[in-house]
Amino acid sequence: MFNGAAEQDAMANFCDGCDEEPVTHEVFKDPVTGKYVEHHFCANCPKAQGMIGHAGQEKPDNSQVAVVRVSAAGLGPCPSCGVTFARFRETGRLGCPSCYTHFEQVIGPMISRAQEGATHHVGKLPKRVLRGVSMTEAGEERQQILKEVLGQAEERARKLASLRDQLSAALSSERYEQAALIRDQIEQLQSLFESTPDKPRPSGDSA
Amino acid sequence: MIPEDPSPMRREGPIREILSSAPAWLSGGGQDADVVLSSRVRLARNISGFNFVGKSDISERGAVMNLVRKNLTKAGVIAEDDKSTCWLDVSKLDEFSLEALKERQIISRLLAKGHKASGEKAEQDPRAVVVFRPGERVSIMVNEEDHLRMHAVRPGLTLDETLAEISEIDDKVESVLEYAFSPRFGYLTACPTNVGTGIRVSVMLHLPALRILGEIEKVKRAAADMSLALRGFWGEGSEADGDFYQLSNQTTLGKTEELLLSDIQGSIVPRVIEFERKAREKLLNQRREFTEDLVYRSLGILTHARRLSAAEAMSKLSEIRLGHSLGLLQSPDVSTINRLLLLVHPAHLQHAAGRLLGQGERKAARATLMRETLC
Repeated sequence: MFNGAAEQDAMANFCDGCDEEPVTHEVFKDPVTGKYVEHHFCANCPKAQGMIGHAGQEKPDNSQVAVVRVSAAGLGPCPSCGVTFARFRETGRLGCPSCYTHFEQVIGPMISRAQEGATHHVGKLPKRVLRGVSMTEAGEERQQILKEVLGQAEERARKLASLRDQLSAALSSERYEQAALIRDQIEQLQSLFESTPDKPRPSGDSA
Repeated sequence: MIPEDPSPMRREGPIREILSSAPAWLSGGGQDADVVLSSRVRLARNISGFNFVGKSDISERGAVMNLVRKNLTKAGVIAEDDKSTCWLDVSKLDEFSLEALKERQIISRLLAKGHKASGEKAEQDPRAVVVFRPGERVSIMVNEEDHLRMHAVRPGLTLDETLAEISEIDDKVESVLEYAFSPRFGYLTACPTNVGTGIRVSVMLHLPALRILGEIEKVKRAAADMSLALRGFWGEGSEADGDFYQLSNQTTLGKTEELLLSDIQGSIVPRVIEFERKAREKLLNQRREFTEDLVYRSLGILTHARRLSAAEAMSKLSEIRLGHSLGLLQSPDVSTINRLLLLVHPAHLQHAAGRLLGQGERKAARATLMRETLC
């Protein structure tokens, strides 16, 4: 079962800034607020820049230490499979599909870093659900199916925005074949969105 | 040479049949085959409603395996009366057969080893591989890191067709099984580095001239600049045996499958092919004597040595493959050289010899195989 103390220990082994390097600095004085805050950073993490290290010094009184480390300790284990965040960090593997929802706020940024900044899937969509969409009249049922595959309106707008960014990048670097592929994908998504009441806003408004 | 040991030749039917011919991806054909050995596309998929493999116990893994087997038939991916597509229960295979499937790149080390928890025996661990024959153009691993790891592989630079083939199978499976999918993260995988498309697109490149001229580092840097991985012959964590390198995508989220494919096929691969061909021309035009010596010396070793390690055999085969593409050798042809690249490895070697061989015996058998094939 979930072992809180063990998870805390495992958490302390990795840098809060990059999630990858081992921790070398533990307590910092925040240059802005002047308060002592507890962070776990590696030696080279850019996020630790400007903070004053107390390595080798006595830790300030506990009452002054605000624990601000980004951690999943408060989330507990995945209710579906029981995998803890510490376990994920140790193995690099999640336990079940629900882990993605349960740990979303912590693994979202980690995934984005590992995936060159990407935050949303824009590729293939489950054909079975798409068939359901094409056979269903515009309305609540259709909305429900679309949400299952493409997410809420905001999520759909983000997907389109990300594709449009990729399209501009491809065009500006004269990668026309790639641009055509991206345009196809934009058209596919747009045709899915059509005749739905909560159409995503144009990309310019979605940032 | 009558075997007294349990002979590899007497292994159960499908393995013996698989070993009796070379896979299509080693045929030496296809576009840009002088540099590109093969194109491979893998899709990672998980079935909704189950834990990922690493977190599931034997009974859950067994349930997934049965569900997959039943539905691959239902979806028409495996025809019921189909003798050419075979389902192999990996946990029932012996070491020799597992080794042979690894050498053919049909199964991974993880699938061969299994997920057995402490106290469980490997032979109880439900995992399987589906092999499409003849040609082994498609294979599906069940209960590897993800419930399904579906591969398609073809000779030469043919990523579009390879993707189309595996996508079609994916669509069929998806018509009968619900995949774990989220609007934000796409197809959900045990490791978040595969999430989104779950795709790995890779090409196996033969780059002997760039290695000889000391230019491989430039290729590595170019690959890293584009966030692509350059790995060895056996994939993750392997060395570049015989000057073969696998170039593949590392990101799987935020781009369509076609775009990820085009990142490789449309930009870096043509440049590396050009770079290798220029290096080959340079070897021929500016360092002809050196190159001829290298190629003929390698052929000499392969046709006269009495003991050969797998690494030495791979390296010499690579150099005669280079010699063939430079027009210095007419014989052996490329498909023979490619086939030998597979046959030098222990399980295939023992299959060819018809008996189990000790380490020392293998070196001698390998040298004999080379002489018999090349002389």
